[in-house]
Amino acid sequence: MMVLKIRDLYLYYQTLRGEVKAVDGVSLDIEPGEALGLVGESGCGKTSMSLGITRLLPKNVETYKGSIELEGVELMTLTNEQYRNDVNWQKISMVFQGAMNSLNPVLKVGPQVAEPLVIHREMKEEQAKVEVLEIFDKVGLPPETYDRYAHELSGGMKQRVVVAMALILNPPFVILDEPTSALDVSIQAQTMNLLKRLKKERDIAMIFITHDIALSSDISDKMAVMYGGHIVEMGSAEQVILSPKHPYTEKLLASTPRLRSYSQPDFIPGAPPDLVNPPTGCNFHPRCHMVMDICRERDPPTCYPEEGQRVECWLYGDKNE
Amino acid sequence: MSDILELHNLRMYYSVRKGFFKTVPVKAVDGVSFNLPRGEILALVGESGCGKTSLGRTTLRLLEPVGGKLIFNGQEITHQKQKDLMWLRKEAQIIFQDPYSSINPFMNIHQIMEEPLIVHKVEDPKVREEMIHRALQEVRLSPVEEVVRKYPHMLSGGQRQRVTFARALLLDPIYIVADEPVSMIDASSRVELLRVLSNLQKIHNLSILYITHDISTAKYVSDNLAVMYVGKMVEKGNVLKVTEEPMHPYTQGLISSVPDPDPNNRHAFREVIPGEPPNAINPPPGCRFHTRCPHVMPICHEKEPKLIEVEPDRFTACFLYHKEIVEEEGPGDKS
Amino acid sequence: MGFSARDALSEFWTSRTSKMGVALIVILFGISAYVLVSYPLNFGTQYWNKPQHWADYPKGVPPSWTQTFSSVRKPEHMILTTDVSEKRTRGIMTIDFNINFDLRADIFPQFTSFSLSDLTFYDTPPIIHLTLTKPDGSKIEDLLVESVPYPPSGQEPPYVKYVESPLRVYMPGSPAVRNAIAGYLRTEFGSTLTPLEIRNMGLEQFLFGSPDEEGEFTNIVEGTYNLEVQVEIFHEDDTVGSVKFVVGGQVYGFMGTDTLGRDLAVGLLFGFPVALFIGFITSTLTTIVGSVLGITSGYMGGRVDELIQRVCDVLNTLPQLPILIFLVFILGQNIWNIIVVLVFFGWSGLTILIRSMVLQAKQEQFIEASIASGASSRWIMARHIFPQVAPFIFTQMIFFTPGAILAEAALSFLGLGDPTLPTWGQILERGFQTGAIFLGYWWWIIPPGLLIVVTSLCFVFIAQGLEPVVNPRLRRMR
Repeated sequence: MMVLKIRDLYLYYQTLRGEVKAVDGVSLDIEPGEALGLVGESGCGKTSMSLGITRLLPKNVETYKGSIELEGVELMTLTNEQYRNDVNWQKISMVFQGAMNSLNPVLKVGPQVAEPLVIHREMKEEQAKVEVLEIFDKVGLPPETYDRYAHELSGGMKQRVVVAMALILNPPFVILDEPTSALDVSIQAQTMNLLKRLKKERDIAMIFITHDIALSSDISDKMAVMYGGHIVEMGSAEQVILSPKHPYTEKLLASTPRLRSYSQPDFIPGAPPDLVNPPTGCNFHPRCHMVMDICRERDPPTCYPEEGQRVECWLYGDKNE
Repeated sequence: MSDILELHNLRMYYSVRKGFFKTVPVKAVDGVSFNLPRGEILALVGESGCGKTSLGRTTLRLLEPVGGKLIFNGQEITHQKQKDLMWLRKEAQIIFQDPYSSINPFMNIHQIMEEPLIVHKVEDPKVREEMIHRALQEVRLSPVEEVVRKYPHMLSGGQRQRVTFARALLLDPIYIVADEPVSMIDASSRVELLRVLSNLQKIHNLSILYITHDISTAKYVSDNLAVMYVGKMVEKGNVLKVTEEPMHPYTQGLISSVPDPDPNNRHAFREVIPGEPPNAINPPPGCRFHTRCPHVMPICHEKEPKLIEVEPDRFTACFLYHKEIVEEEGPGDKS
Repeated sequence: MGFSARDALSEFWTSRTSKMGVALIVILFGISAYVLVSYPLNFGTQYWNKPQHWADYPKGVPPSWTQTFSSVRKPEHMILTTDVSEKRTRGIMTIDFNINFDLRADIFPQFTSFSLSDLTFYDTPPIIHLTLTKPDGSKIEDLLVESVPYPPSGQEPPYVKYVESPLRVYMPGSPAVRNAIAGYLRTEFGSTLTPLEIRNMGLEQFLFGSPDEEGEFTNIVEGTYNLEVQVEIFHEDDTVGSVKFVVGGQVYGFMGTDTLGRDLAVGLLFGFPVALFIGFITSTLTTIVGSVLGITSGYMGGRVDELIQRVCDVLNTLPQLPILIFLVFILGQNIWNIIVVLVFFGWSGLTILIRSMVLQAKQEQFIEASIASGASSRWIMARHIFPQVAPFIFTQMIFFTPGAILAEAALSFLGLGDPTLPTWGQILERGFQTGAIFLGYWWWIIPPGLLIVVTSLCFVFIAQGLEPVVNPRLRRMR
């Protein structure tokens, strides 16, 4: 059974300038123990995706509809209270960008990690501490860390604390939104190794959101490329990286500098689309090097060029639909 | 022609308060020596706390060194007073990282670019306008008449960075410190911006110190690459050679930590440098990297390796490559 | 960041309190402008503080419009002037004036007075005779007989008198009038009241009343009264300009009068521009001093910062009001001294706030960029730091204004205000001193108090409306 099944998720915000179509009809599936890498640049809507799935909606949400099925249970029909009591942190947990800076500075770190246990499992603090120390061991933190304050820990250690907090209730699904972007490169590599290990040991399914496609390839089994509120391409990591179908994916890969090989780096001219006034037809057409007339007029269809690979692009669809 | 920059054992410490009366020195730059010739782009790479940012600012004398010698285009500027350094403020410029806070959001582009010209006494407004137009055209921000009237929030991040490039070019400098100029730009626009920088360098024969934590971009912009670790330079050489055959164990660890897009990555654990970098207040004795080095030897605990030219144009500070043990000259680091 | 003045204005305009504040302040300014145009600037010294000017006003009476809520009819204040005269020669030469007036009320008028202006005589000074005829026919002959004093020796005719200040007789204070009334009562009613008793009982009841069965003059004779003024002259060329008879009402004007007879409406009106002036000057000066020092302290750091901060600390620990009182007492009760003292205590709070904002602004990279391009500290403070804190400073200035107005009112209330300026605080102070509360003179106390409150409120409304504009976190999402 799928861990997560999202169909036609829409999330629009109301701002002073108008309605922002942050998530504009997104569907995806995640199997148990699978990591989906959601790749996209700033303003593509990937963070809004994570907020939409976890129901951390800001106040100016205009439209929020679609279907999110977690382990067979439809989440969108739950009330906020039901979501909070039954799903939040127990079935889905998250690690957000800069999460290490949202540790409470005046409390010791250990009790903060224990908090979900106390709240959701109604454990006593001593009992919870045992579990916390166990998970600290799993993430590679020494037991003394329990009594430390956040400012006494390094960036990498804080990030491990946050990961521990996300896993303490052993959820089947975790969302990580740029979990390593504030870390140094060597610490980033350590953290990725940790995530790889935990994923294997605990069979956790995850969405790993990042703008760095190289980093995404470090953990993702499946990859989804997001642009202008849409998932323009999705497939296995092999498919997306080695045989990308969407022109945007191609260019994104081409503009990623390679350390170990020499390739002429490329770039995409122009800027990401304005989500209040997106271009007509395909969102990417103003910057596309393969643009055709139909791309300017009509939204591209969802096409399946290979088994398991999905593209929203006129290059692969029937032009006379 | 003399080198643009000559650093001799340059040290820059800054003070941090610990308790009410005590301050301790943070050894941000702790004995760095190298030369930067005319027209060369040197990438300075390292992780947070390695001192690269401090080193960049020290070469501009935005920070004052506490020891060693700093020579700019033949003139020693180690301890000159700020008011005597106005000439340096013309010849040497800096480009910042954050396109959202490196230009004043309350001023329009024209005013932002006018400022250095007014400060350096370009009196005639017409001459100023001409210089501004020329600079904006060079960075391909057009149409220029429209751009100068805009406010920063009306431009994209990439466009704003171009404005900072243009501003740096106004006074015809010979040296530019580019401090992480593309780190906050979208990946798909980074290379475009680096190309602009590269072209500017060719046209004006600039010397550029390109500071970055992203070793992958260094390859595309710079001629040489220098790696810093906790206030010291540990490796320097041609950028392609250093990235393909790194000599210093830290450089090797750094390179193996950076993934390329490759679907096989997820199946294997990456080789990482264990532990955390030490802090610059109390660096470990001997070689600073010895606490994390997979090839550590007894001598590494005791003596500090000097940055030595091990092959033609390849410098590294590691006892693995020293044939004999060389004594440290100048002030020891036990101070 | 990134909103224009238009967005700022529309943000400001969304709240109702802002609209109220703007409406009120427009009214305030309108009234102040009117006052400045219609009244002389030295109104305070020239008129307000000169009791002679208010001599013919009723003392301590409520506003006229209170009549509509009362069943008791109070007489209106009547100032009756005429310059129409007739010269007669019937044995003696006289210049005759006639004044008619209607009196319909349930309460006797407060007082009466008679004035004569513009006299020119060549020989013996004239003698003035007054005769009052009541509506019921009763006549008081020679109610007043007043001789114009002889001119001092050395002066030559024609003698010109009473041009700038008229000859005035305050009837209740004149022994001659009392005697005349005593005589009238004896003749008409056989009363044995002595002039002294008449003075204690009040003349008005005898002038305007008629006795009841017990001989008490409690009924007012309603109807038309006639006052005949005969000026006996001794040279045919003598002239008299005009005469005036004042019947003191029991109500007056829009806001009533105080015990000195001062028209409170005029006094309160004059308070508008004074309050605004004090408010704005004080807040502007305080803001300038506070922000300059705040920006310098925050940006320069080091010893300058330490020094300024220590001064602020000292000023903040000092108890403001006692020292305010002390300083005004020593320096003198002068509006400029008051302003200086208020500014002296006001700037430190703003400096500390601005300093913390500057400390944050200093961290921005464009500041470093300016330094790197060689800009001086002064340039950076003026060009980069100031525009960032300017909106906040502006709001603070508006917030300071009601504080200054209240402080001045407080000082005036304690008797330390500037006595040459009629401010609302001054009026309040006079009222309390005179015991207006115990006397029930509510019109003396409530209006000035209310005006102080409403004026302060209108600035507070505006400042509240401005806050979301300058502090983005408070911005309302539409």
